[in-house]
Amino acid sequence: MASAGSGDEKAAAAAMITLISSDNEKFEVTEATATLSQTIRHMIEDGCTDGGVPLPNVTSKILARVIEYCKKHATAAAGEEGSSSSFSDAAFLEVDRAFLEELEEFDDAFLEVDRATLFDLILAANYLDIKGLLNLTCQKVADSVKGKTPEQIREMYNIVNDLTPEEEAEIRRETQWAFE
Amino acid sequence: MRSRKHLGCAISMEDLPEALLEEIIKRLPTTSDLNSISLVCKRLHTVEAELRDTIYVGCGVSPVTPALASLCSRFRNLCKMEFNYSGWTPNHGMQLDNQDLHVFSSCCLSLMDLTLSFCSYIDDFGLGFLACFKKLISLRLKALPEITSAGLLSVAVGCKSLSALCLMSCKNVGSVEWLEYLGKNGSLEELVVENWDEGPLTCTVLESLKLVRCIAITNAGMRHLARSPSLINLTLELCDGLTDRGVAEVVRARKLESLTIEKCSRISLEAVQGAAKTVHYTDDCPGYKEWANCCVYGPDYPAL
Repeated sequence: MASAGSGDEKAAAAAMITLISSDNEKFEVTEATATLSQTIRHMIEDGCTDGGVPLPNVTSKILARVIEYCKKHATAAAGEEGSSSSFSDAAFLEVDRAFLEELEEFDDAFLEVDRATLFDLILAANYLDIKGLLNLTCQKVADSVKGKTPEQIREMYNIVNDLTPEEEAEIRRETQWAFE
Repeated sequence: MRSRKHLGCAISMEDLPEALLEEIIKRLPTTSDLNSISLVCKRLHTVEAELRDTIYVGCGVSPVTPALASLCSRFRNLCKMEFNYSGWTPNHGMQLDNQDLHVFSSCCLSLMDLTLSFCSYIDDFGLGFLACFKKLISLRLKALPEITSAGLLSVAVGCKSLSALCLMSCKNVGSVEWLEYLGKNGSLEELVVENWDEGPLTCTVLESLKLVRCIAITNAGMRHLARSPSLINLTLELCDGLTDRGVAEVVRARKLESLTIEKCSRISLEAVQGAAKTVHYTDDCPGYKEWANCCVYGPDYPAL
C-alpha cells in the first residue's frame, strides 16, 4: 500500500498543468500546486485540462502571485504528510512547528502588497476557490479596518460616502446603544 | 462617480461582490468595528446589517418602542438579543416595559435566544408576550423582581420550542407549578437555577436539575428535593448553604442516578461517595463544566 501510495504521489507530482492568464501568459505548474484551487481540481477531475486551463478572470501579474502562494503551501502540505510517518512524536512536533513558523513568515511577506493587488488577490482566491488564500487576504483587509473610524476607512479605501446626513444620523443613533 | 475612476483602473473595496464583503466583515472582532463599517457607505451598511444576528441593549435606549421597531427593520436576521439594565438610574430614561416587549415580539420573528436582565418594568403580563417568539429556544431571566411563578407558567405553556431556561435572582418566583408543566409537556432539556430562595422545590416530572449559587437552599430544602419522584440527575454548584447532611437527604431520592457536586465548600468528598450510581465531585477544575453538563444531560434525557 505504502509503495503504491508514493508511486501515485510521484506520478501526481510529475503531472504538469498549464494555466493561461487573461493576458494569455502561460504558467506551468505541478498538479499538486494547481489542485490547491478547488476550481482547477474539479477541472482536472473532469479531465478538461488538456491544452491548458484558461483563467479569463485572472491577470498574469495576479496569477503569478497566486501560484507563488500555492507552491509554498503545497510543499508545506506534502512536507507535513511525509514527516508524520518518519519521525517520532516529539521530532514530528518540532518539524511541524518549524513548518508552521516558516509558512506564517511566508504569508506575512506575501501580504506586503498594495491595496488594489490585495483586492485582486481576494477576487482570484474566490474565483479559483482557494480557501487558505481567501482567508488570508480577507483577514488582512479586516485587520486594516480594525479600530478605525468610518472617515478613516473611507479615506483608506477611497470610498465615497453615499449616505445622506439623515441616514447617517439614524445609523449613529441606533449604533449608540446596539453595542454588542 | 466612484473616486477610483480618477485614480486609474485599480480595483477597490467597492468592486468586491457582496459575498466577499461579507467574508471581510465576518472577520471583524468587535461591535465598534461593525458600527464603523456600517457608517462608511450604503453598500457596507446593508451588508453589515444582513450579517448582524446578535444585539445587546443596555441603559439609555429611549424611547424604547420606536427604537426596537427600527432595529428590527434594519437587522432582519436577528436571532439573539439581550436587554440588560444593570446599573440603571431614572436619568437613563425609560426601561423596556411590557408594551415594548409586545411590539418587539411582533416585529422580530427570527428571535431564538433572549436574555432579560435587571428589567424592573417587566412583570408576568410581559412574560405572556414571549409566546409570540415562535422560534424561542433559549431564555435567560436574571434579576427580574416583578415576575412570579404565574408568569413562568405562561412561558412554560406558550413557548413551545423552549429547550433551555435559566433563572437567576428572580426573588418572587416561589411555587414550581411552571416547572411541573415544563416537565410534563415542554421540550426543556436544560434548566439552570441560580440564587434560588428556598421554596417547596419538588417536581413530579423533573429529571435533571442544576442549581448554581443557590446559597439560600439549605439541608432542609434537599429533603423536599429528594421527594421529586423522577429526579435522575442533580448538579449542585457553589451552593454553600449545603453540608454533608444535605447530601444525606438527597440520597433518599428514589431514582437518582447521577450526582454532581461542584465547588460546594461545605460538602466533603466522603459524604458524596456512594450517594448515587454516578458521583462527580470537584473543588475546582477548569473545563469541568462542559463535562458536567454532558453527565447531567445525558443520552437518556428527556425520555420517559
